[in-house]
Amino acid sequence: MNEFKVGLLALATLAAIVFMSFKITSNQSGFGQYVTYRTIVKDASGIFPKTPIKVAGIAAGRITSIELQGNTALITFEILKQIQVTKNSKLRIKSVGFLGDKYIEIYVGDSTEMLAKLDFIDSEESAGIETLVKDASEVLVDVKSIVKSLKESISPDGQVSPIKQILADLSEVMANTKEATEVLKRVTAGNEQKINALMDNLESFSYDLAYQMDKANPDSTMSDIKEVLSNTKKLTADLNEIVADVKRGKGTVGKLLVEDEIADQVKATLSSVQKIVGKADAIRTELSAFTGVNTLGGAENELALRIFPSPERFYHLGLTTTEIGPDTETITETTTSGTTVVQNKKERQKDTFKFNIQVGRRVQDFGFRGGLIESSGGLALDYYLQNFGTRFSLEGFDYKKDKGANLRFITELQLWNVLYGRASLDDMARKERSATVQAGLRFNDEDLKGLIGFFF
Amino acid sequence: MLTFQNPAISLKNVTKIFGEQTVLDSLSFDVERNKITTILGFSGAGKSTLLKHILGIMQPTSGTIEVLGKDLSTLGKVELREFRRNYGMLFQYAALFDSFTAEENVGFPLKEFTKLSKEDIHKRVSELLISVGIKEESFTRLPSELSGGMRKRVGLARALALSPHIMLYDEPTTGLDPITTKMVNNLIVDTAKNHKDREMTSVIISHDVRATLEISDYVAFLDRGKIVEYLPVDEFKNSDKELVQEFLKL
Amino acid sequence: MIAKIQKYLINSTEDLGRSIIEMVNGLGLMTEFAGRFFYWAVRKPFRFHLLTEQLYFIGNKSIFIILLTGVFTGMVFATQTYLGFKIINVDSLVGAIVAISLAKELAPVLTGLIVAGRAGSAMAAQIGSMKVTEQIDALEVMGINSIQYLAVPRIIAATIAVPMLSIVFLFIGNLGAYLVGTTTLMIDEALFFSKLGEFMVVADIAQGVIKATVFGFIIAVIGTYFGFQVEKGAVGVGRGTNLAVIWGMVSVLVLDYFLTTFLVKIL
Repeated sequence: MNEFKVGLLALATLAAIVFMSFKITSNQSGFGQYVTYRTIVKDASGIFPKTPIKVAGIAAGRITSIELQGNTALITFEILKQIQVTKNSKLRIKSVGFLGDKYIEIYVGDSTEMLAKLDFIDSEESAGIETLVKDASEVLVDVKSIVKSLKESISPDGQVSPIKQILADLSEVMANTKEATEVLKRVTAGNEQKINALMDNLESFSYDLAYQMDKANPDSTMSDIKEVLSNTKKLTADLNEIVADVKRGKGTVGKLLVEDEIADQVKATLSSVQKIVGKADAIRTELSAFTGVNTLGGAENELALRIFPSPERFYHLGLTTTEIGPDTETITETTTSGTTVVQNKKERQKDTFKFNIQVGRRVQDFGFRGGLIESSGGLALDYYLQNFGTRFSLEGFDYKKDKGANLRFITELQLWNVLYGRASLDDMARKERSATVQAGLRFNDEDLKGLIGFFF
Repeated sequence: MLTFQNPAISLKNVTKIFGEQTVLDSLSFDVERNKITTILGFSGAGKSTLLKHILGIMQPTSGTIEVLGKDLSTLGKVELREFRRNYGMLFQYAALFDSFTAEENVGFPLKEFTKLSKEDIHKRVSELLISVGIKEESFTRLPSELSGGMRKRVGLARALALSPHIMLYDEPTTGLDPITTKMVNNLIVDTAKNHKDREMTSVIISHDVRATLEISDYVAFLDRGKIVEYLPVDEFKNSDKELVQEFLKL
Repeated sequence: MIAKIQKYLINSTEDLGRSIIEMVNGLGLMTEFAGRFFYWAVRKPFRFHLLTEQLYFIGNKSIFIILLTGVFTGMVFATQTYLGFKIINVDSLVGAIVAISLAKELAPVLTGLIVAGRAGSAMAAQIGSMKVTEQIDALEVMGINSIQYLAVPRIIAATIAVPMLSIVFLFIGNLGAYLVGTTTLMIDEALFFSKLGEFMVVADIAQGVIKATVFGFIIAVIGTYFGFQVEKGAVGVGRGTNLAVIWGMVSVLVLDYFLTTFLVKIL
């Protein structure tokens, strides 16, 4: 009796094994006749013996062996006999979903001649297309989010466009500034000229900005963005479709290959994107802080911020003071001057804070600046000796009928990393010449990032 | 020392050493055929070890053991296994297989060693059990359902199943009440008598002096691995050896 | 004070050393025992009725607990993996993952542990109590080798039964996972099976079965060995049973590691 039960158990076990084996033999070779073929590929990474071979997306065989042949890989594999592999069939290595499991797909060609046993099937390089698609989709994700936030800032639902808001605020600021300048005028009698100059610069600055923001203007950034938006919309729709297909495990990415229109659009999008990304990426900033001493006995400090919306254009905003420098978060060695100023130039003594607001343009190794230099209208010329980290500048400002302009010659030297030294000759054209020696720090984005990282 | 012609069992200068201990010390000992021989001794004197040597379960460090004319050391494993059919052993607590009934226990050696049919086995088993005093209704009882005395009977029946020529009794009456002791003694005597025609040598290992002296033909006294005295029973009772006297008084 | 510490350290080291030596001794004795198994297994008489008896005891009588443990293991495992997989949207892989884990690890190991507890202890107890009541001596006296009579059928039976039980475990575990997956967890049925087929290979099942076979062998060797080692009456039997279960389970787990690394290389 017991023997019978034991026998039953054994039978049940056998049945269970057979049943389970059937359930999982979708990829097994073993049933059916197979024919062996071969191919040569440049890169067989991720391919192992037993990696499945698919034809039209359905399992049709397995790899039997992979060998190194010179600099390429020779793959031997077998395919179900009933699949007619023609002479112009192609072979491609593809990956499945996220996990990146690789398999080989065979595209049967339309030739009337069949391949014989052990013949070679041509392999096509697929990696390029696939990575392009992968990259494109990644870029698209980025683009999408950029576009989205741009959209929000340009025309958010139901609100006044922030850009418009900014412009409105700016005009308010301008109005306030005009007021402030009246005050300034009163305080700094005789400096109307300078204030006006400042106004002019600011105006041109905002004009520039508006120009860029104008959608209608074909040159502006906005229209580029518009173009990208429309291309992206088109492309996203198409890609969604393809992605859906791919998800379903159907069809091949070959569709992408066949339809040139899509490929062209991808190219167009990519290049437009590059433009924007290029633009966004290119905004650089530079922060500098200098402190030093003037031969006339006063301490001279300068704090400046330079914004480069493009490598050749910049806006300079700064503050100069003859008092001991304002508090900054930067590590500087403040050299306090013990000596008191004996001689006082009217301009210097009274003007404890002076503004530097300039626009500039860089051409090759030269730079041109114009705007407010030390609260007076002026122009400047810079010359950069990149290899030596040196900069020479000639500034002319504070033009007075009687005295002429204040001509200043500055030499700036990069001492180490972010540490700079500066020597300048002031009022060269005038009688009261003086020299200033300063040391300071100049940071650009990278340095700032590093610094912030250090503190936090 | 008693010696016999053509003894059933003959030990010659058998020594057994376990590590540091000498359990059997150059022992020479003969057992006469068809008689009841008892080996007495204190606990730890080496009785069980001696028994194992006689059975061939243990090999001596030196010396020879001959049983029924055969030198045990010359027998190969298979031959030895067959040879064991000549022995029957009754253990102190019967050592019945607790998952088998009385019937199955007695039938076990028959199943293992003979090619008898089921019916023949059943017949023989019944015979044996009845001959030791077990009634038919107890045939299908498990050992746990039998009394101590009944277990011993069944054990005896099992030991006799293959008609052995040498019966060994390990402490057959030790710890039993007087009535059961008498019963067991009777069994031993009857067994010896009933099989005399086919030859039956009985060897009893015990330290129940009174019971054994009643039924034995010969008595030997084993002390610390040596046979100190070996005489026919009547002479043994009057032995002048001090140790024996002490033992007999107990 | 220092002397006390020293003394304690010396004693502890001695004890430790002694234990280690005892264990190594034990291992040697067990290996010798296994050797005797192999010797007697191939000699007549072949007691098939004993083998069948043991197969029934180890195999059939464990079925209930195997089914119970298996189905719940499958269900729990499916539920747990589902929670994590759902987050990255690969919940269709639950079936495959549960099946592979069951096949390679859970089925053989859990079956091994269950059998070690159930049958391993029973073997030690049975043989141990036979030893204490002189039944083994009785066998020997009758000329029947006790190892051949008692140990061989049990060891062979376990080596056959444990893989069978493991397969049953695997099957019922997958069934449990399937039921939970498609009803409570709402995993798509077609995906469940297609992913299962995609990721699982027969080699996975083979790995599990090989492991189970080794486990069965070891559990029975340990169980019968400790049974034969028993002395000193009831206390000894209890101790022997205890040792058989503990060492049986420990061996299963330790061997699992080594077998896994070994099998991964071959299969």
